Amino acid sequence: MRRVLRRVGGALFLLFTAAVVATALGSVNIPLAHVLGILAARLPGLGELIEPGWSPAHEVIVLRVRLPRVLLALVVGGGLSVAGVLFQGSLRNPLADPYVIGVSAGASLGAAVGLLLVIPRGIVGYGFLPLFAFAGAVLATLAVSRLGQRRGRLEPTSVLLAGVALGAFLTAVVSLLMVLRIENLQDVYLWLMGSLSGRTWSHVSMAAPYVFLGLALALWLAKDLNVYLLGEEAAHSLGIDVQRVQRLVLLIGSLMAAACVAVSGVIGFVGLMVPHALRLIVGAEHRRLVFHSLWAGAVFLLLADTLARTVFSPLEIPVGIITAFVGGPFFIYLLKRGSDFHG
Amino acid sequence: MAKLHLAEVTYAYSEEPVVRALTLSLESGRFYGVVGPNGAGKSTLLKLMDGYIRPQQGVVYLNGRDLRSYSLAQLAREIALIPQTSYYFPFTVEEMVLLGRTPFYSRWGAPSARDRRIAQASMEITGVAQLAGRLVSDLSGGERQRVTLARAFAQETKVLLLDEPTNHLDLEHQISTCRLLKERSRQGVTVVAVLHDLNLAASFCDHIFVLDQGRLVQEGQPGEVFTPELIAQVFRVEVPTLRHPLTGRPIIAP
Amino acid sequence: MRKSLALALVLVFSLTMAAAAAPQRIVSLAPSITENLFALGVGERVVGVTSWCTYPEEAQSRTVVGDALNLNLEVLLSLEPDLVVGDATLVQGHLETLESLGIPTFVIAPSTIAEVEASLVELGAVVGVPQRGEELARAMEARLQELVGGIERSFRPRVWIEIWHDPLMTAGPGSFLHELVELAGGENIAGDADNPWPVFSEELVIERDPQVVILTSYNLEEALSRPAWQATSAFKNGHVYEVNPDIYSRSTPRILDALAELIAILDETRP
Repeated sequence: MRRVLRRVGGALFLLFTAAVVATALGSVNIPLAHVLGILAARLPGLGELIEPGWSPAHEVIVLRVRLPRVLLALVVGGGLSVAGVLFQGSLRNPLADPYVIGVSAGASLGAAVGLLLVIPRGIVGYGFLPLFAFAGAVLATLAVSRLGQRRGRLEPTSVLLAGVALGAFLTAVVSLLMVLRIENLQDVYLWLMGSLSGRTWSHVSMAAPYVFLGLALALWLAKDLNVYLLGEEAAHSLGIDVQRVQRLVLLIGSLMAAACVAVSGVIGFVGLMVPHALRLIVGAEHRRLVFHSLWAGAVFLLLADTLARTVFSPLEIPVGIITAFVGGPFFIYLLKRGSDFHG
Repeated sequence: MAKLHLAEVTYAYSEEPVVRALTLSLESGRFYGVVGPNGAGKSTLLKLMDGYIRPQQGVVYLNGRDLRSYSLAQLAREIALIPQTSYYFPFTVEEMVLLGRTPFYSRWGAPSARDRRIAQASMEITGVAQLAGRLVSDLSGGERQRVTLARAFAQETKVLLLDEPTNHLDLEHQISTCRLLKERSRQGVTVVAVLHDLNLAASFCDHIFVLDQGRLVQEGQPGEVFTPELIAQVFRVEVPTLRHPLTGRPIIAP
Repeated sequence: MRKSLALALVLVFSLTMAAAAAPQRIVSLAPSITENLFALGVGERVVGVTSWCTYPEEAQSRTVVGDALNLNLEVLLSLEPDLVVGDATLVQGHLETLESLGIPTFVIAPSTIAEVEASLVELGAVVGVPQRGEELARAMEARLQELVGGIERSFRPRVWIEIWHDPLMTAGPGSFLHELVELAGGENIAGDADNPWPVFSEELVIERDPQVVILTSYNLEEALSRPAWQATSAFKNGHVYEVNPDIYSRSTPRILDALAELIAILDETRP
């Protein structure tokens, strides 16, 4: 128990420090002392003691531009990683990512419909975009899990195939929409690349509950998932309700991934690389794996996003490009190292 | 009272029944061998015994009670099944064997000291204790098989079902595994193994079930069952049998 | 309808602004807006521009807050603007974010010359120089009438406007290019399209046999090498022209330079 507390405490400290450092960085030079002051001034009690020595513009930048973005990077990075752990476990495939069963394709279609057909007509504002994406993701996932059933049971291979098939089809529909509505092309294109630019507190409050809930459920199911990895018959023999675990894990994973994609677009590689790499380091035991993937994924995406908005400042690169830059070499490294998994 | 009893059990995956009107009984403390040609329904038989699938007709009884009346958790403490194929993820050997104790500790808890002792003992019996910290995915086929066996032992069930446990093993380990299983049965466990090697079955098993096309064709002691006539009928090959000079058991000698 | 609604909004807005005093720190999110602000004489109140805002030259000395796709909120906020003006087709998503941060925004999106003139009036009112806005609009209208008055109306060449080669995109009703061509006395062969940026097939273009081809992506050499197009009147008579696309899409008074150029081109093609 003490060991658990130490680990959790350590991770929280790391996340907190990373968040503060990231909040101090950006296109506009704000001294660290001011950043700390602005943040501390929000704390009840301590807040009254601090004399504001910074400009209101800087306060707005720190509290309403940088801080939500930093927190969103942590939430989305952690969420995608844990979702990746869940998918790799339930599909018994260490190369699965949270998008594999249609989440990203469905979200892209939802976003495309919103950006190209609904929002330009003024029916609703841009604030509704995450809802479109989320709805698309959920519908696509339901379709894939329906298609991936054999005799009423979810079969990992069928689910993967259905995901690839539906994904290809939905992506084609998105491309078609983009050609037909070419004047709003760049909006969709930007969304597809995945970015945390311009995200606000409303995005954080949309994604965070799903990620936290998903995390709790993932830890709750961790023990079952360990056994599930042994194979369906072996898991049954050890008292695990295989179908229930499969459905629950896919459901939780999909909701987490859908919430993340809805607020940030399709940021690739995080949900695939982080769980895969952590599994090589800490092993397949799921309580450990979920915990480490969470903080590692959060820090990774925060790092990538901080780079994305500072390296070519004032120009911002979509964070999806940075993660892809890391993703390619990562897989080459895996290739060189040789596979670790046997069926 | 029989430990496990199947009464007129029939099962079909789709149209054709794979197992037809099967009736057989299993006692405690015996080592049973299930043999037959491919597609005879041997794996299906094990899955029916362990409750992984339910018969369309007939009933499976465990300790006199219908198997369906047991909860998953209860079944996990009574019956352990080692399937033919397994997946190997980066668990350590010790973690893998400890998974066998899953039915005995809660979701949020951890294995107790007793669980660890049992796991340790199982690893020693199967000869993998020195591999405890190694990753299962790094081991050879034979070593992995023994780790899986250790896991099943750690589950400490009264019934142990194994689907082709000697498949990837070299001769030394084939024999040591069968010895272990026999040992286990002498401790009161009902051990049922599907074996493709008839000689192993003949040498170690107390009782043989011969399946062909889903029906129980013959059952009995190895000496009664492994005759050239039966082998010709079921396996469609003519081979003579000999008698082992020391044990008196049959040897199938192609 | 849209125009009167916009004007009504502008009236309300400018009354509010007048009450609050004219904006002193303006950020422009489009090159045409920057150009118009300077034309209105409030250039020194412009503190932020996009990286594409290259005219007038003085604009290049202002702080860059982004380009059409990316808006750097931090830099923009650090300028402490009291008004951000955007072009609706470029940065719609960003404008909502700005509003949620409490920054006054104003959007103009003219797509015809008449709307450009109206936008000058609107913009003038919003930044506190309504008279100057009206002056500019009147001057623009006057020049327009002068240019258009001298056109020989009996000659209406068929014109193919090429925006992009692959896919073969042209300008339809609702775009400036279409309006300019028609004002210059030409007949846009894509004039029956239902959207401003229709995509045509090569066959359709050849069937409609344009007499003049206007290229807007500096691809004269590539265009002249197309085998199927050699049969068109435009190619046969050598009436294939390459123009600078920038001046054809700026919703500023300089768009009339584009009109003048087009009129000269079409004049050349008179038999």
